[in-house]
Amino acid sequence: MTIPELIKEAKKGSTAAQRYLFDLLSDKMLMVCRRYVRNQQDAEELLLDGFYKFFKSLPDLSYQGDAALHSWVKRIMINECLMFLRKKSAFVVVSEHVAETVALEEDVLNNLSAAEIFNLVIQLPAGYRTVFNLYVIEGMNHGEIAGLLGISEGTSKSQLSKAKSLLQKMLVQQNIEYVKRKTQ
Amino acid sequence: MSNEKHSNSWIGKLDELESLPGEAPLDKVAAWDRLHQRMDGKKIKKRGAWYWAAACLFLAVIGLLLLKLERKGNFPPPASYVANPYKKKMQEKESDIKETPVIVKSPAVPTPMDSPTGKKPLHVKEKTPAIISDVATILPPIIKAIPHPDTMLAETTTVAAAPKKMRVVHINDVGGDVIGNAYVYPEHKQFKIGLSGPAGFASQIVADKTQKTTLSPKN
Repeated sequence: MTIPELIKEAKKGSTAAQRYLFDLLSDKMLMVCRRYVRNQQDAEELLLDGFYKFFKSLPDLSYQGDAALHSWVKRIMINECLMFLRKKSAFVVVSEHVAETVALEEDVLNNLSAAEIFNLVIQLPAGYRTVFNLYVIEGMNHGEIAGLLGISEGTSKSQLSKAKSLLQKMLVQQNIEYVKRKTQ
Repeated sequence: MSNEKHSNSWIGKLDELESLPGEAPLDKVAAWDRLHQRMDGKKIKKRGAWYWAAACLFLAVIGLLLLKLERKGNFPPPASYVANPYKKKMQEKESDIKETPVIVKSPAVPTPMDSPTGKKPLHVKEKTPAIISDVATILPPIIKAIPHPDTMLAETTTVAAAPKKMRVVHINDVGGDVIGNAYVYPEHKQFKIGLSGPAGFASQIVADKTQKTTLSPKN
């Protein structure tokens, strides 16, 4: 059964089709949730909440390709995570002056494995991590992030700058040879 | 959704990550069961909320009906009874008189007080106020101490007093001074006048004709 057919069946209320979609997307979506929420149990709860909303909003979905479906589900998951973080008031408001722009060592990151990058990202404090995820990984701009998180653009910029510098420090602390070479 | 360009390589890797090497993967069966339960539970909860709403509405309607029925049963007191200081004064006076205990001693049943002194039983006459008005004819029950035939003790029994016939006298014959007047029906310019004289009390509703009650159109 192809994904469009699965969507069609799931829209009709077929539990089997819903189950298949869940199996297909849940792993990746759990990793998305975990990028925002460090705790495994919280992330699983948010995953279930997200899928519940996804199945509820299926009648409004018009299938436009796998990538669109994937990004739609991902967006639902991110919204759930942001709602959770907002409830927990995990966003630390820091001074609004923009710190010096820190450039990420893209080459260093490219040489790392996905799990290593993931472990580095989830070590960041919640505020930094959220802005970093939204800006660097999801590709949003500071205006969008500010609107989503209810913070100013300056705060978003400042959080991103601090997140990047912290990430650089972590890369150095991990004693990665490439970084060593670069810094020497 | 655009910002400074990042190398897509590591972001793509991160996006494609499905599990961490050292961690146990997601138990999909258990997770699906929980999700399915949640979906079913929310459906039931939704239905339950409707039942609760219906029950609350039903109770509210019943409550309102009962309140309406109860209000229908209670009539408000007449206006003349409410705002009439003279009548109130008179009623206070009447109650003062009637609440005086009347001791009636029967000679057939001697009380322990009779024998040692040998005195005749004391008859206390009931004070009758000389009230010559319609108000005076309505009397509340008088409490009298009547001796019980079997016991030596007097038992308090409520006896309804028969309305006493009063002499009807014209208000002008009462004499004395006006002790009070109050508007009974202000909208009709009627007021109640009270008199106190040697013959007793009297009250009458009198129309005030000194003031013009109607406005006649000017010619």
